[in-house]
Amino acid sequence: MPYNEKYLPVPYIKIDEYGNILNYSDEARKIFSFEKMNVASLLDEESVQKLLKNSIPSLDKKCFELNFKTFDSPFALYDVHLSWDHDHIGHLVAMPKDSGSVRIVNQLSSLQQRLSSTNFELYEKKEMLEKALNRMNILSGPFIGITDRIALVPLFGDLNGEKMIAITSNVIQQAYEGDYDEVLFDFSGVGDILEDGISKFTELFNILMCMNSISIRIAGIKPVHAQTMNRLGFDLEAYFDTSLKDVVKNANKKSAAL
Amino acid sequence: MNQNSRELAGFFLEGNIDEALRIVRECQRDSTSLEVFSSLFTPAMNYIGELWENSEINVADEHLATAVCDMVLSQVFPGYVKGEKVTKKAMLLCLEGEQHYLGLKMINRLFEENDWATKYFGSNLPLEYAVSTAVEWKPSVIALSVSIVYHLPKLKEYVMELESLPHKPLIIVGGRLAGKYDLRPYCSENTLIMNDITTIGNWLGQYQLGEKVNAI
Repeated sequence: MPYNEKYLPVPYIKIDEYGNILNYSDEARKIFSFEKMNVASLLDEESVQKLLKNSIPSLDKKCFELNFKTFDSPFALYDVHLSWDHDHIGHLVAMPKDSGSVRIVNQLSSLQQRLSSTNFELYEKKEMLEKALNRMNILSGPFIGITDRIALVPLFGDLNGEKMIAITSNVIQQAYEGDYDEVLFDFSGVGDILEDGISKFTELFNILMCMNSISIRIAGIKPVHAQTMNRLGFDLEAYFDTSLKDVVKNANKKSAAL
Repeated sequence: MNQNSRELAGFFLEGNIDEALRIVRECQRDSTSLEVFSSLFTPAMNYIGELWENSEINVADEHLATAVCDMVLSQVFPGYVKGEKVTKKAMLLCLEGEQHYLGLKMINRLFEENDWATKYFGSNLPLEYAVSTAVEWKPSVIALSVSIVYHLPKLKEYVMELESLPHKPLIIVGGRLAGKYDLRPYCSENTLIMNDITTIGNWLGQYQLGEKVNAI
């Protein structure tokens, strides 16, 4: 039965065994550019290989997916139905991929995209949090010069290794620049004392003692701190005072006597 | 391709996460991450690509396999704890529109294991975002991944713009196309083109070694 290919209601392309385009339907003309009359020019480069594999003329109809360059997109997925007749002429119908499955595939990629951007945002927030924590650690041990001779370092929060590392360099630098005789560490605001905190604290002590023989005073130790420090083997030549108030009182007495 | 990779590809396509995890963990026991990536994951995903070319699976199957592979990668190689030596910075991204990010995810892991701080953006990062992050964060290396031929013209634009940034980052180009085509016409003479994951793994090792030698 003769038929006019131009009016076929689907995107239809007629090719020879070399891929030359012999004819096409109006529906195909609406989607593809037929400037070059070869089917390879309609396809994404890597889909050409796939078409070649499936183009061995046989009487069996074949159905497979190919990526086409269309007017709308440089990379659009189509279901291709291809059959060959006795004269080695190929009849190819390209149907846009079922919109349902395209929708699901797009949803899947957008979920993946969201997951990876959430992951990245979390990573950025974690970095911000780490920076904020470090800043907080530094601010938890300010170095305050009270007189020309005495400096005060009030400690706040739990005493851990990270906090001591954050505080150490600032304390050393200021103690060195200020030429102080005495540095007073006030533990009134300290919560728990942890093992790595006390070991870093000991390191700071040793450094300060080596610098111009600065003497160290510790005030505001609670009974629970004393127990922990004892258990963790804290044994350094420091002067202990009950409270900051006592230290200031003693300092005042000393200056009055002078 | 080895039997394990073929089996792994099968589990990816079935959506069988448990069995996929079992194979990967077994291989991981006596192999480095680079070996697991190059001898197990990469051949498995290439095989899935071949199955599509042979019309044995469709694109929806490929997407499912990608999602399962991503999940397995995330479980077997979770967040890497950075050492104290981290001083070098690298940024990793796929070109705009490029959805094939699994290779880049593996490369990101190798950078981290070699003491690099990384920003890994995964798929589809428009050039303007890449530029603004690079200007602010100043990574010494920017790795670009490209897997689809029609994205190639964009590659040139990315390479030129990122290489001309004031802090002169080194641009590394990889991805599936790097092993199949000559990408030099889309790059400058300074761009490093890495054909596969083993090449980049070895480069990272040598970079590390070079640093140690310089330190001595």
